[in-house]
Amino acid sequence: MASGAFHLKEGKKSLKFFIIDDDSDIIDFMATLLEAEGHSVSSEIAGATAISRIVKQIPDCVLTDLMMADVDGLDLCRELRNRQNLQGLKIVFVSARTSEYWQKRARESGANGYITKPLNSGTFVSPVERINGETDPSEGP
Amino acid sequence: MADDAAGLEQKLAVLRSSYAAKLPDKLEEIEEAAAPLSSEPSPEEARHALDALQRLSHKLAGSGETFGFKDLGKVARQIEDACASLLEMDDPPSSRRREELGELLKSLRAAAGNASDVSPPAEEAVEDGGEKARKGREEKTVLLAIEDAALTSKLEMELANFGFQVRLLSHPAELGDKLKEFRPAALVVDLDTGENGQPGCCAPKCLEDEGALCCPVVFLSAGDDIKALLAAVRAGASTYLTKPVNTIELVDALDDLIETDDQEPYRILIVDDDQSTAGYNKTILQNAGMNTSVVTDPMKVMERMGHFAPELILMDLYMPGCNGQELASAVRLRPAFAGIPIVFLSGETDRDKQLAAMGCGGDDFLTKSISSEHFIESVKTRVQRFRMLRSLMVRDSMTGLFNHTTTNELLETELARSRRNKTPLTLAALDIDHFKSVNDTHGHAVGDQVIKNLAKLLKQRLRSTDIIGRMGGEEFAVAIPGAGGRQAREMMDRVRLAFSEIQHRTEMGAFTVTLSCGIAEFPRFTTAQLLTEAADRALYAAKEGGRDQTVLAEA
Repeated sequence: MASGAFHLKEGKKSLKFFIIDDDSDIIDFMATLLEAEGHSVSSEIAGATAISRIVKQIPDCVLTDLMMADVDGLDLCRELRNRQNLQGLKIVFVSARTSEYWQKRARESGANGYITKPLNSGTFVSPVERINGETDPSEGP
Repeated sequence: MADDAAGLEQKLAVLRSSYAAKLPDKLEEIEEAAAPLSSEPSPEEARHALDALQRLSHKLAGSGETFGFKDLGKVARQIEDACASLLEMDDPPSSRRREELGELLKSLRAAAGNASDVSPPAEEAVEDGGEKARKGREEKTVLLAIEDAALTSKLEMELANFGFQVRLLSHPAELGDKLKEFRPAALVVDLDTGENGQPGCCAPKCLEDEGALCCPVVFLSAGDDIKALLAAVRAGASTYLTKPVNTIELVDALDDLIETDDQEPYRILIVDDDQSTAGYNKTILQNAGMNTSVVTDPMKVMERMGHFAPELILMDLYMPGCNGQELASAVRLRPAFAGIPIVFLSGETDRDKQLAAMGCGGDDFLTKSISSEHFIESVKTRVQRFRMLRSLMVRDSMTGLFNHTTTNELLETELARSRRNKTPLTLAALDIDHFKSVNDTHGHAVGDQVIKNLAKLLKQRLRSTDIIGRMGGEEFAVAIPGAGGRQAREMMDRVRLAFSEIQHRTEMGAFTVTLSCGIAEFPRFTTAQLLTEAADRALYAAKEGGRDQTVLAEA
């Protein structure tokens, strides 16, 4: 068996992630998994202050919650899509809402992907990387 | 690379335990949000409460299952949905709907109580044998095997008052049949001779044959002599009470016994390349109320360990690709798993080979011909001990605060979070002044009381998000996320003043004690080690400066 999990880092570029979620435990969970794969992570617990930091940092990918205490994730997504300097930015929703309806609305607001909670430590990272154009090297060229 | 994976698993385990530690606060917050709904709320109050409840349960639904609390996540989702549908209606919720919501909140509490279910690993679901065990216990049924009719009816009534379901034997010989019929949460047995001068209805030696040892047994006897005690021990006594029976004592004993049996099911990882053997062992353990996860490919053990967080690994000795000894050694290399009991199960009867296997990190060796009772018992004993050690490893036993290791781990987590969020974090190091003289003057018992008083004060005065640890002796540490140096100094100064006003009472009268505190802040100090060193230096400066003061570390 090719113990793929341990080789993921090779031949991959390190991505800059920005996570927005009003649950700091969830941020920690995602950040720990992404950092373990060699990516760097910034985060914000409140949606309102996130945008200015994202505009400044220009991450490769934003992972955002859909329903937060202070901000609607869809609005945030649309707002980011309107920014000139964030052309290549990938936006992925991470939400406990599982219905098609919300996934569709997320796509309409400009999202590149949609991941549902609960998150699984074994299966969280690879779809995120796939959305960012990184393929799992163990899957072949 | 293997180290990275171990490091990750360790980090995830820390996140999981820190999440579990915060659960009670989260539940409290939810119950507080829902509180207005339990009386007659105005439409506005109801809407406000439902909004808050929806938001909080949504969060819990997202995080609960992620951190392995499967049932909790499910119930939280139900609450969220219920709130959403109530909010869609124009009218405020009827009392019936509010009651239904109240019921869901109760299930949430219950789900958190036996928050045991680990999220299913990638390919194989964890099979929950705990459900079976829980069902049989739900009603706390206590079976009385007492011949003395007066005592029986007295206990029957009094135990019922305490909420136990009491069942009786109509005849001593009935015990075996009754036990086949249902499994009581506990058995109360009178050891004394019956009225006709015959040995008590359930003489210890009969109990084992009757299968009574499947549940905790409380023995009652007038005799306090060593013979009676020995007989009770041999019969597997969990508790022994002397007559006349004090009901409160009996209730306490039953609560203790039933409580420990109510715990979350044990999690056993079975590693065996032979599917059928694995399946057989799985069935035995599940029937005994444990949760199991099976791995047939030894190479996948590490992966599964991270998901399942087992409390014991049952391992076949001979497998293709690598043998059990190697695998055990490999597991033991990772600090996070070094303490997990590993039990080998094999057809190997050569004692030398068995011993060699134990030398490589195995804790026990069971041969495949073992009886299922013995098998279950060996597994149970090891997991119990592991749980006890683990709880000792996370919390300081005297104060219930986090211990040294855990505090440092949590500090790392908080620091990583502050780095990502670009928020401040402060670390405070506290030390009780002249503690040695407290011990010397008043004795260690009083010294311990002073330590407990400080622990209590810290818990009261600080926020639930602050991490409070006892680092050893009279030293404490507090990590305060979100607070800068100045703010933390104000907080700790209030604690310092409050502590100096506490009257510690002794038989000789009361006395007061002070403390000194050193504070260091992130990002001025960038790593956990630098923070700790700086806080310690500041504490030292506080001591040098005359004690009973708080000093903020300069860069």
